[in-house]
Amino acid sequence: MVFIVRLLLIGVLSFIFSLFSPWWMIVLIAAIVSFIMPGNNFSAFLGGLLGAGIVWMVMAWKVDADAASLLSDKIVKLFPVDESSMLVLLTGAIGGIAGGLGAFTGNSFRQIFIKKVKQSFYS
Amino acid sequence: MKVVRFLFALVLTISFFSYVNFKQGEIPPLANFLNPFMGFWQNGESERLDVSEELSAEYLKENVTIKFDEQLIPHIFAKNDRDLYFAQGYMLAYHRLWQMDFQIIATEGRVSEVIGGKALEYDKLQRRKGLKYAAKRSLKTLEKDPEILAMMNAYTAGVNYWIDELSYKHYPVEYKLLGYAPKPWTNLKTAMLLKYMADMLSSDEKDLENTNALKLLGMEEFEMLFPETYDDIDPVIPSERKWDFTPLKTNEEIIKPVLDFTAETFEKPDPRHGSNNFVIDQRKSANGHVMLANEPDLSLNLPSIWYVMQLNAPGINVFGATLPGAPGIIVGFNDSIAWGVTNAKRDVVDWYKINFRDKNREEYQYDDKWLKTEKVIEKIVVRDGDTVYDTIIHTHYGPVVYDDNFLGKDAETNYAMKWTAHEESKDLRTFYELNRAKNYNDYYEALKHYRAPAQNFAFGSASGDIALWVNGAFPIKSKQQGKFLLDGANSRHEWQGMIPHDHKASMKNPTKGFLSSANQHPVDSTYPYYAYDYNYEFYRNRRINDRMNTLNSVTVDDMKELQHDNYNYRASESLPMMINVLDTTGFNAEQRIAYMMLRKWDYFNEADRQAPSYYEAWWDDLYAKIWDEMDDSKVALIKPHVFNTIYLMNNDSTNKYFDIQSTSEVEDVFDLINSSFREGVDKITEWKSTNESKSVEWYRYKNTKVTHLLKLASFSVDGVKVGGNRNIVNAASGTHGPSWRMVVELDPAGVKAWGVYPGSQSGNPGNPSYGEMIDDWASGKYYPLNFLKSSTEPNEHIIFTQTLEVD
Repeated sequence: MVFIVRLLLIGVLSFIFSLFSPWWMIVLIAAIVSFIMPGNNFSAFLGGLLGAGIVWMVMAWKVDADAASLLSDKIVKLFPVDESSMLVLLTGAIGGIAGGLGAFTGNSFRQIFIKKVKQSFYS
Repeated sequence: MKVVRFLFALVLTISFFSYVNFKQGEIPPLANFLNPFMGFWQNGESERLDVSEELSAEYLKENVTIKFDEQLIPHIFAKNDRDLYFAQGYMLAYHRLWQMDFQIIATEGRVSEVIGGKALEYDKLQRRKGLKYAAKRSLKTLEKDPEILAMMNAYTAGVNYWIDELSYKHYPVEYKLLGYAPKPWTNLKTAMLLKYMADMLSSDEKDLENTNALKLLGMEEFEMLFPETYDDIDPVIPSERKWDFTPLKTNEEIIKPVLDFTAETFEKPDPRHGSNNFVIDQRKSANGHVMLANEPDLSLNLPSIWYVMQLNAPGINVFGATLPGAPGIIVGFNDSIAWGVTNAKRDVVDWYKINFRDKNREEYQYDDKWLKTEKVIEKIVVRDGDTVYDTIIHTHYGPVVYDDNFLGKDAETNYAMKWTAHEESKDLRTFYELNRAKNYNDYYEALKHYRAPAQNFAFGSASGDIALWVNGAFPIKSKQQGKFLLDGANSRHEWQGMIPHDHKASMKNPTKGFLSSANQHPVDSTYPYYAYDYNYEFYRNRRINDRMNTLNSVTVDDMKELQHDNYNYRASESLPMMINVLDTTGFNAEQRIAYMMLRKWDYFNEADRQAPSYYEAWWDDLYAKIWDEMDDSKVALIKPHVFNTIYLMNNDSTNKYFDIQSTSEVEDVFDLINSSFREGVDKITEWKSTNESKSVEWYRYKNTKVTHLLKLASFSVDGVKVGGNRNIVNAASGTHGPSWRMVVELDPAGVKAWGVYPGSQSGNPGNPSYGEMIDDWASGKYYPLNFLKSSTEPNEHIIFTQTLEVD
C-alpha cells in the first residue's frame, strides 16, 4: 500500500513540478516523498523509478504524438538508435533512473534515523 | 552500515546528476535535452504557425499588426518606424533566433566557446581578419546617424523582447543540442552581420597564391595561365557607355611585388558565391512595364540565409528578402522601384609584408620612419578547455594575419591585411534609403553610402528608368597593384585613394533596353581605372545577355524561365572539341553509350538528363589531369580558370601543362581528353553500381544539398531534384545555388512580384513547414508575393493576424 501511494505521489508531484521546474526537481521529489514515506530501499527505488519514469515516458510519447514525431524522427538519427519510440523509452529511462536514485537516497537517509528511533524504543 | 548505504546512494545520485545535466563531449546534456516538459520534445510543433493573436510589448508607441500569408511571410503594419523595426526584430527572432545568434558567434570567432577546441583555428582566423574590429568601427559611424541609430535600437529591442520571453523550454532546439543559451542582441551584432556578408562576398582573393606562381613561373607563364581578361568579354556595364568624367591620376610606375613563397594560405570563402540580376525597360517588355529579376547564389543552408517579409509604416511600404540580423530589406521592391544585387567581384583585399624593427614588434618600417604598432590580445574561451590568448598586431594597413603564431613559416613572414571592409561604413543607410526610394535619383543617392561587400545594384522604376551601378568602395590602383604581395615598408605601395562615386562603373537606360550582371568583369578595357579579380564569371553573363538580346516583348514567364535556364555554356565551348578528338576504336559498351549520349546532347543541364553527368565526370577528370602540376607544388597555388583552360585547349593543344607529370611520355591535350573520357565513364559506372542504379540522372549525380548550419544530416535535405550547375544561369551546384529568386513587374497601377527560396520562414527543424519551399524552388515554381497596400486590404492568402499591443 505504502509502495503504491508513494509511487502515485512521486508521479503526480513530478508531473506538476516538471511543468515549471528544471528536470532535477524529480530527483528532489522522489527523495522527499521517500523520506516521508520510507520503506525498504528496493521498494523505494522502484517507486521512484516507476513514478518518475512513467511520467516522463508518457509525457514524451504524448508530446511526440501531438507533433507527429516530426522532430524526434530527426533527433533520433543523432542517437545510436533508429526509431523515435526508442527515444521515448530512453527518455523514460533517464526520468526513471533520476526518480529511482532520488528515492533511494531519500529513503536511505531516512533509514539512518529510523534505526535510532527503533533503538531508543527498545532500550 | 545504513550511513554507508545512504552515502552510496548519494554519490550515485550526484554522479548521475552530473553526467546527465552537462554536455559530455558530443552528447548533449541528456536529462535537460530529453526532459519531455522542457527539452527537445517541446520543440516539435504541430502547427506551421503557432503564435498568439495578441502580444503586449512595453516598447511600442502604438499597436502593430502582423499578417501572415500562406508562405508564413509576415506583413508588418506599424504607425511609425520605431514600432516597425521593433516588430521586424521580434519576427526574425521568433523564426530565426539561433541562426542569427550563431552567425554572429561565427563572425566574431567565438565558436570554441560553444563547441570546444576543434574550432580554435577558425576562431583565431576570424579575429585575425579583424571582423569584429571592423564592425566596431562601422558601428561608430552608423550610430552617428540618428535615423539609423533609431532603426538599430528598435530592431535590437525587438530581438531582445523575444529573447526575454524565452525560458529553456522555448529555446530553439540547436541551443539544447549544443547546451548553451542565447545572449542579448546588440547593435554591434547587427554591424557584425554586415561584416559577415562582407567576409563571405568580398574577402575571396588569391594574391599570395599569385605571388607564389609568379615567383615559380615568371611573368610570361603567369600571364599565360592567369590572364586578366580577353578581347571579347561581355562586361556588366555595356560597351556603349562612354566614360564622361576625368579620372583621377594614378601612379603609372609598375609596382614591384615582394616575391615571397607562402606554403599555406588560409581558407577563403567559396568562389561559387555568385548571383544574377537583369532588368528590362518598358520598350522591351510585353506589357510595357519595367521588370527586374534577381537571385543571389549563395551557400544553400537551413535555416536559409534569407527571410522574406513586408514592412509598412508611414513613408515606407517595402517587400523583399532580408538577412536575419539586419534591419530593413536587402533585396526587394516597393510601390515605385525594385532593386537587386549581385556580387561585384574585385580584389579589395591586399597583403602588405611588414618589416618589424625587432622581436617586440612594437614598430615597423615605413619609408625612412618607424611607425608604432598596436597590440590587441584576443581572449578565446574554449569550452571544456583552457582559455587561449592570441596577440594580434595592428598596423595602419590593418591586422597582421600571417605571422609566426599563425600560418607564417618564420619571424620574417608578417603579412598585414588591407581590406575595404575594415573601414568604417554606413552600408545600412543605403538599404534604409532604398526601402523608401521613389525614383532613380533616390536610388543614386542611396548608393553613395555603400562600401562593402561591393555589389552590382540593378534598378528599375515604375516610371520607366532602369539602371545598374557597380557599387562599393574600390581602391585606386596602378596596373597589377595588389595582385601580388606588396611591400609594407614602401609608401608607394599604398592604395592611391578611392574611386570617386561618380567614377564608378554605372549605366542608366541603355539603348539595348536591358541591363544585367552575373559577377563577370565590370567593364571593358576602356574604363580608366584598374579593375582586377582572379575569378570573374564568363558563362552566366553571356547566356543571360544572349537570351535578352534574342527576346523581344519579354513576359514575366520569360524572366522566370531565364532564371531557371540550364544552358551549359561551358560545355558548349569545350565538349565539341573534346568529342571530336576521341578515339572511338575499342570502346566498350559503357563508353559507347556515353559517347552517343554526349553526341546527342544539346548542352542543357536538365535535372533528369544523363548527358550532363557524363560531361561533368569527364570534365572533372580532365581538368584535374591538366593542372596536376598545381597539386604537386609545395607552395600554395591555384588552378587556372576553366575559361582559360578551355581557351588553351582550343588554341594551344601542345602546351607543356598538358603533359602529365607522373608519366614518362609527353602527353598533349588529345591524350588527356582520351584518357579522361575513359576514367570519367569508369567513374559513372562506379557511381551506378554504388547507387544500384541503371541510370545516372544529372540531379542525382550532382546531388544538390541544402545543409543545416551545424551540418547535421537529419536537419538537412539532399538529392534535391534541380538542374543547372556552377557557370549556368540556374546556378544550383552541389552546395550552392539561387538562395532567393525574385521577379518584379513594376506596373504603375500596382507592383506585382513573385518569389521563392530553398528553405522556409521557420528555422525550426521541428516545424511542419521546415524546408517546405525547397521542392517548389527546385521545380521552378514561384509564389505570387502578396504585396499589401494596407492592413485592412482583404487578401485571401492571409492565414493569420497577430497584434502587438502597447503595454
